Amino acid sequence: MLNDHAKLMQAIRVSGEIVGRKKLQKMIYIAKKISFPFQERFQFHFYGPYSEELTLRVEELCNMGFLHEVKEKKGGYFQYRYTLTDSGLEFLSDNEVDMPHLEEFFSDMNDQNARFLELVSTILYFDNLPKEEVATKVFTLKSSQRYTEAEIDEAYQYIETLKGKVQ
Amino acid sequence: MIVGALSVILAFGIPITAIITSHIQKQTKMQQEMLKDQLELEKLKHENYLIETEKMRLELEKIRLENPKDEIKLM
Repeated sequence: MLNDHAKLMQAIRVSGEIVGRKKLQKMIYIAKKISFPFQERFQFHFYGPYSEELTLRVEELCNMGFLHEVKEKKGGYFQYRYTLTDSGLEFLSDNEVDMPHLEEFFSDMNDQNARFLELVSTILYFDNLPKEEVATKVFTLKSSQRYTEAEIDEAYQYIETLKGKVQ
Repeated sequence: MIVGALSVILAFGIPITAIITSHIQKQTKMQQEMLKDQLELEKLKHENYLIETEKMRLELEKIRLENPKDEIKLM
């Protein structure tokens, strides 16, 4: 019944702690695009692919006491930290979800910063387009982030690295 | 006999050559037209892609202006 919740919890468990809602959104989107069976629907938003369903699911997990959310003031905005609670860990031990390579995949993404993951997820969102057109999308839609050609190349390489992890 | 054969070849050969040459010329012209159309199509496709990208940017900007608090919520 709570299979989709369990998948999300598993992703947070293997990551240890995820700092930032944006980062969490991007990590789940990238994992979904590359191979993992997350069911949340995404659409393009301010910071790239965003899922309202995922936001609601996280809220539900917090309300159920499975997920611990810490809100901290960071300069001009609030930042959120997510970890699993003991009840969450207990729930997962009874409802294990089999997702091979999840840990190495999420650990790697968790080591990246949210800005880079935003670029990676934007590239994946437009993966039906050739690289030059994707670059135009990035420069137009994400002009405030001032991504460079080199960063776009790096993001493409990173996508290949991630794909290699699940093969 | 040989003179007769030559006359026949000359009589039919020249028009046939003219027909073939004209056919090849028409074919080449058609191919050039096709290529021109294909280039025009690619140009239109690219223009359309740029307009779509700009439209998407404006839509995102509109959402951002209409829901300024959402931006903070997503951090």
